[in-house]
Amino acid sequence: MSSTHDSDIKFTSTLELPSYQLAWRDLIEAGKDHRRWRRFAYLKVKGAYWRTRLGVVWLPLSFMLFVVVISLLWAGIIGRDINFYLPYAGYGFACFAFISAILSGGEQVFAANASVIREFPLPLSFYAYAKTARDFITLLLSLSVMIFIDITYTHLMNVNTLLVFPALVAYIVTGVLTALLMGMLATRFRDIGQLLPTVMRAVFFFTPIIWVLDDRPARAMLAGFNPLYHYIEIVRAPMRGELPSVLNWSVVIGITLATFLLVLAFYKMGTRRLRIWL
Amino acid sequence: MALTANNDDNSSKPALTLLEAPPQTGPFFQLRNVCVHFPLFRKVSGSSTSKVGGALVRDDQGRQWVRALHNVSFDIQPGDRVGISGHNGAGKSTLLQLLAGTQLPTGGTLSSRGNIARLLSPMAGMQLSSTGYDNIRMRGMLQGMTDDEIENALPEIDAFTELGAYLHVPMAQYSGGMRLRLAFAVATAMRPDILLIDEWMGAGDRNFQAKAKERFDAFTESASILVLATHNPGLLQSFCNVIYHFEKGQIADIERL
Repeated sequence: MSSTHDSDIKFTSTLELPSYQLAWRDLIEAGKDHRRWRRFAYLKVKGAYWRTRLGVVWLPLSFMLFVVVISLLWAGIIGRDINFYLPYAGYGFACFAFISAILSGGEQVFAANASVIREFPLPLSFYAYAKTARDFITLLLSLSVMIFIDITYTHLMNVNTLLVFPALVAYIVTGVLTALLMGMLATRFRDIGQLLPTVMRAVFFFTPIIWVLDDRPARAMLAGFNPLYHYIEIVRAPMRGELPSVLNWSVVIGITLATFLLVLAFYKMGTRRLRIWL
Repeated sequence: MALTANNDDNSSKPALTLLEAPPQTGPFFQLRNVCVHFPLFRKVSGSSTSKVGGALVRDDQGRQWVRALHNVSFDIQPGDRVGISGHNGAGKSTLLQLLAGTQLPTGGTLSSRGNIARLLSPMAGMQLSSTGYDNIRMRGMLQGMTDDEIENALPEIDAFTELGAYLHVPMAQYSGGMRLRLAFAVATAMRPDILLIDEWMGAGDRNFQAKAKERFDAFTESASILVLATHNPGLLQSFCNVIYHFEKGQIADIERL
């Protein structure tokens, strides 16, 4: 909240609370404030396309053009049926784009909002929610394109597809927690903002998106150790009418818990200093 | 945090009467030995003998810091109109951010009560690619106004800015003065107990200056605490009843008017 009321005196000594309490309180307070971070995120997305005639329509449009062109090309190169390959690669691209944006966009969380942070005393996870909301809008638009293609062309969705909803919840939860951590890291260590996009470009090729996970054990191993594969699979499998594996979900839940514990442990250290790092 | 200054501070500190406890009711600020240090991410050699900026200090681990505020203690009570003056880098803006709750002390304690309006950086939260209307809603929301409060304030903001049809134009196509009008109108659209202002009203034409002064007077009448950072002696004289003069992050002089 930007204001306090007569009854509550604010003492800076609240910082003497343990880190997990501060983190939990901050996450809950900002989470309830969704009206504000949703609008904040929406204006950022909209602002990126100002003066374009099509506006935000560019997001799904460019995604669709990209997926169709790449799928036609690569389905031919690796000898796969386009009906199989287009949804496989399409959902993969959509999910990877979200994960990559959260992991490598740490600077957009706090550093890019320095003037807002210096003006309004919002809970710091507000900016992590806003960043996640912004990337989630992109993800939803990309998924809608794929759903449109599925309804008109590939017809893969079935009752298993309902499992995409818990998957999207997992995306949001891990997204907010990761954005908070990466935001703090990227504000303190500015090199991260340069390094991570490069790393993510390489990680892309280690993740089964343009190549297909088949029964070759070397590839299956490579994917199994890649947490991004499991995150992609919990969305891609149900959207293609299949069930994600128990292993997929176990890894996702494990990573979510680990991220949550990291936030609880490092929240105080990060937030105490964040404003002097800006 | 153990910090030693490169240059000694043996300046005689002005006498201050500090309250034992905060007042029972009403807005207030209480600062006790508040320090703010910013880390230097790349070391520099030599000491800062410069008149500008805070002292450059070194801690016991050899890390260097900009000492923006050093052992600042004072009370602000209802009815206080505090003027903050001082050289560039004296700590005026850092102090205002502390009072605004957007900067944490690296030492000492600060407690406060009251509904605060902040006019520190009026463009904060505004996006040039968005229209005037969108930005009114955005900044209003960040200030803690509800949708209804913003809707109710719209006619008044519209009248104050005189921007008319420009409110539907992206702010990127506003002049500096037009942006200032909008920002000022939104920032003063709430009725707070405490008003914090960093001087930024230099821009704007004469018509705006006059209107701003008018609104300012009404505003300072309803707010029970005003803290204004400025270099302008005229503003200090006309708005403040106590002036803290800052030098290198410390109160060097107190003047009651």
